[in-house]
Amino acid sequence: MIHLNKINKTYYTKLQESVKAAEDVSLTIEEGDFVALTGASGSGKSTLLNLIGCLDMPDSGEYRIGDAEVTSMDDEALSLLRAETFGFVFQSFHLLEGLSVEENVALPLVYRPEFRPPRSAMDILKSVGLQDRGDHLPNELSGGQKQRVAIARALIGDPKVILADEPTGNLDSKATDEILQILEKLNKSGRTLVMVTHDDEMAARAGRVVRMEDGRIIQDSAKNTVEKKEGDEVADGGAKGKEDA
Amino acid sequence: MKLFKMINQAFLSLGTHKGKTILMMLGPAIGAAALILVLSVVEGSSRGMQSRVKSFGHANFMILAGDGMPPADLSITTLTVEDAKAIEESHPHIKVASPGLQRRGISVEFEGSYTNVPVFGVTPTWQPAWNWKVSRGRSIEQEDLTQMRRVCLIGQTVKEEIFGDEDPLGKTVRLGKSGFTVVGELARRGSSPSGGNMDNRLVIPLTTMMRRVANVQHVSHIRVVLKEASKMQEIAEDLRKLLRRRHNIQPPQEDDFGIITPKTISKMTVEISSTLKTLLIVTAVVCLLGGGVVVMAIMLMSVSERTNEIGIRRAVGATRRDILIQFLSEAVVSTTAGGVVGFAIGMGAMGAMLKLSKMQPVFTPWAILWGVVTSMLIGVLFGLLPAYRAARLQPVDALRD
Repeated sequence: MIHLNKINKTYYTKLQESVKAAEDVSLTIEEGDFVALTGASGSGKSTLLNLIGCLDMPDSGEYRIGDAEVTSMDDEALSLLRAETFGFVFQSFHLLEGLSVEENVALPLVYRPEFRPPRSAMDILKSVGLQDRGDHLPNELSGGQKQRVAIARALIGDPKVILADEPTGNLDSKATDEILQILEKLNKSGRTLVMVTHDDEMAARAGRVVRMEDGRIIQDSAKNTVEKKEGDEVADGGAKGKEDA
Repeated sequence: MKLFKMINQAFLSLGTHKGKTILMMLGPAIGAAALILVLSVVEGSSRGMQSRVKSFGHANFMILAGDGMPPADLSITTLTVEDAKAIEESHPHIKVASPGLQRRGISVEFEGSYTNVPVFGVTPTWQPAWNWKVSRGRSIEQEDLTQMRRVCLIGQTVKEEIFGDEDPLGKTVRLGKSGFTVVGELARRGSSPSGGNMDNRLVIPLTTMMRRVANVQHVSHIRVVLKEASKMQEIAEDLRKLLRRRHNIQPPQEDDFGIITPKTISKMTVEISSTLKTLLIVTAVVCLLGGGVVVMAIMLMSVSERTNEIGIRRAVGATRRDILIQFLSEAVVSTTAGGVVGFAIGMGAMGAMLKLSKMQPVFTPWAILWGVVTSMLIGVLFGLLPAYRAARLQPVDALRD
């Protein structure tokens, strides 16, 4: 359902140095996949996740979701994708401190007034074990609890794809395990899961591991290939064939 | 529905940043209060002036010695009783031309009680010309003038101050060095439209005033009453020519008198009140603009402090327009609230003014509308740039720590 073809993205630092965060990246992700994006810091894995989630736009290349070409979409359509198709989970939780837990979970509904969520904010909080924390403020919660709130917020819009950027990066091992179990459960129930991690042990829990280095994909377990860093041809996930969702 | 939800978000975040919200309300509040107050005071004073115009009468002139700006310049000696006579005979439309001489602050005494009053020297025509009534005793008569009698009519306030409960008729009051017999009481007239007390006065024969009190040969004013209001401007122009001839004034010399018609009064009224209005409105608008700059500064600060929040909202599906609307509504909601608070302050100040000062502000509904609508516009105007900045942020840049 997600099809990236020869995507490029270059950043400029404050010193006007250019950093190639994505270089001719091609990747196909099927519905129901659990993909771990891994690599050293600065390898471009977060950039790739942001590009997939339409938080950022590529400089060149093609990006299709289902049959829709994303690179030609306007702000309105991109926002709709972020609201309907994707649910984000970030390393630093990114909850709004001024709103209660329940209001944080319901935040996406503000921008989709016509959408009737299949499960209410409280129902979802219950499913992540926080049913009695709805009226608390985020800063009254532990890190693991905050991340569970963030997952609940990602789920309120009933998205097909969950995008998680180092979701356990700020958590201890117990909370890490809890969060991973929740994410795995979501994947088992049919949601596509793309998770950025620098931890090989965590990556190993994913069905498919995509390794990046210097903005390129150097290894994709689904293709069982290891690309040379200097190689001109880049692994093409399109080999998996089907492009429809 | 969506708009309502987003305005609700604006309220929520205004609630979490109370200090900033209050700062943003402050400028518009002061500006709106000033604006409302100013418009009410101007409305009040222009109504006062309108009623002065009305009380002046619509078929009258006042001819004043000097440049025509009341009060007449007492040092100017050009206007005479003969001028009045000539004016009266100059035109069949003129009913009466009544000369008078006025002095302020003359001390009046009766058995040890003193008061300072304006004294008016008048002729018998004064009564119809100024529409005065004598409630007890008699009025000033021609005999009084020819014999330069020391008689006077007494105003109600003067009577209360120096006679108390005593009957003043037939009593002698001391005016300067000479005694004057009170022959009549003026009917109560209350305060003049300009706020002066019409009942605080003494009226004596004009000749007595000129020879015995002021020792001058001139009068300070002539009141001209027409039979009808038509031809007013023509007659005014004729009188001007007549007086210039009588006073030997050649062009390009200026008039040494002024003719005041109802028209000049209303013109003056409009000029004064519109100058006042412009001045005060400019002040209020400067207040509001100052408040607007504060709003913009705070909103810009807010946007850079809340970059992360903007990123989060964008990530969960907010469009650029949603972000724009949220920040704009925060600005508009706080400045409008400021306007409403300013309205309350303005009303309070108006109440205090009515109680404590001579000013008579008139409550004007459209002043409130102005105050509140202007505050709202300030929010839109000065919230736009910060809101636009917030909306322009790329989600990924906004989320970067």
